[in-house]
Amino acid sequence: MPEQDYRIALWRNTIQLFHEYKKSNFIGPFKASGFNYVVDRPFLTRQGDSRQPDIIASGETGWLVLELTANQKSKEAQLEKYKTIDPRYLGNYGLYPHESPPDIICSRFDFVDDGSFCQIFMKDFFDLKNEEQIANQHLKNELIKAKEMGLDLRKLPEIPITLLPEMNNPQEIRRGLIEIVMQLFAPNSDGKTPIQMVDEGLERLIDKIGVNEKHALMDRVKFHMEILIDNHLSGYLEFKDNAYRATDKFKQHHKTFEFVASRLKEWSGPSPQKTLQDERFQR
Amino acid sequence: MTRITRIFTDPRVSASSVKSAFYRTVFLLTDDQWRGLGLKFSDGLAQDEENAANFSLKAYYGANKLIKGLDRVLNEAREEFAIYSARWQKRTEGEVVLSSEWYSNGKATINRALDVDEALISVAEMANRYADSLKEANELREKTMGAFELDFTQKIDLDAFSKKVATGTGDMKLWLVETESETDFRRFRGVDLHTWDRILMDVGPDFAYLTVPGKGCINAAPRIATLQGEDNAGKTSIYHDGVEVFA
Repeated sequence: MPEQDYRIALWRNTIQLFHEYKKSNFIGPFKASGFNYVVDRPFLTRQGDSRQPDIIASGETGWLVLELTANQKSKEAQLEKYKTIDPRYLGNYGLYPHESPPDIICSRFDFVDDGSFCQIFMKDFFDLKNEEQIANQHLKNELIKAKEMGLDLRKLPEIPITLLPEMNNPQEIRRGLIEIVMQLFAPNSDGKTPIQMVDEGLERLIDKIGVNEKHALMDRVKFHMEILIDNHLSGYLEFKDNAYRATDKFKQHHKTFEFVASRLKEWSGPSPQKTLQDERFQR
Repeated sequence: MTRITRIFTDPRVSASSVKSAFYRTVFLLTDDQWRGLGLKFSDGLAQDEENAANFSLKAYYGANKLIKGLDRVLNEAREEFAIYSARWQKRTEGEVVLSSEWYSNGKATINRALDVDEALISVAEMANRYADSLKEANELREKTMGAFELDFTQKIDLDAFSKKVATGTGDMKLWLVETESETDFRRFRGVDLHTWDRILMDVGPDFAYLTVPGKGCINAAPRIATLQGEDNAGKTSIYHDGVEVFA
């Protein structure tokens, strides 16, 4: 199950709280509260200051600001700033309009002191702290119900976003690249530049990420792709003219497919990985 | 919906050859030398016996003890070869103007039609419905980050699935890498070899979650559901947020 600083798992488990799955009898508390959501959209305060929380959601009973973080520092100051977001912009994103201030929740894996703000914990089983801060009674009831039943988060579906800014965990970055790399082996593929790979991993967050963050993520992608080419798929992949491409050694044959799949699994697997502090990355 | 055994009837078989299969089976059943079991399908859409389809016999089973090994073959066939079909009738002023059967492998048999145009419109209508369902599913994918859920009525072998998709072989046309593994749950990432679109699949013993990032085609969902339903002789339903899609 999710290792430390596994941001994708944090996002996956939080996003799935807005959804329902029949076979596992999973109904997320936000889904049960009737919330719809948008991700990383710009809002303004009544004073005209810009705010862009990770998720804003709204339903008939109220609205909600969600901050997702793997940061070990307190988010109290940032959460405080969300209190003044102007709810009139909800309608711009097709969300249910309100006049009252939002409920604010911080989603984390492990406890970090975020002051009196409500926190939800997304590691394996749903947990909750400071629920008394939630004004929306309906939402509060659903969150408490999820906590009391120990809502299982371990087998929830992946989300389409596979890369996130500030990702640092090598396994997580490599897993986020697997199917993007596999596409390089498509017949007549033109290859992909590092920034294309980042954009594909960011998916719907593509135009919501700052230039510096994107550049830092691209450096990490290049680092891990270099290891893949040098140590795992040597001869099958190359970096040429600023693009990753399959070589002629790759054949459309099930044995080759199996070989490449096993090497990708080995590259992204749970064995101890080099970190960004590696000598090669410092160069 | 009714399940038929493909080894005996194929949607490409014409009505007349099915009819002859019916007579042949009756003969086998009435011969003392050949003991077996004949299956007669009740025509659920027929208003009365007189209007029921004439070729309701879709499978037969018999004489398996006389030919060495035949019972084993038949048992395996029953497990391995199964497709779903749905029967449709169109009635105008009490008369059946169109009678058809639609199979899960994408084929259709028009059993009776008074008018060629009627038959062509029926086929076009089904294609349009499928296109509409795909469009609807695509909108769901773009609007939310929820996965498509495939519910299987029969259990699947996760180890066999994992080995199959790693090689990119099989009718599912998926090439996937396993990224997380537990006894009853696996996560996979890879590509749909039909389109080379990206695909994320999380698979349990009797369900799968399907996520298609970017602008990838959602067609993989009904395809996997259909093939899985056939391969395991079971039924597969597709849901998004608890609501059935591609119904």
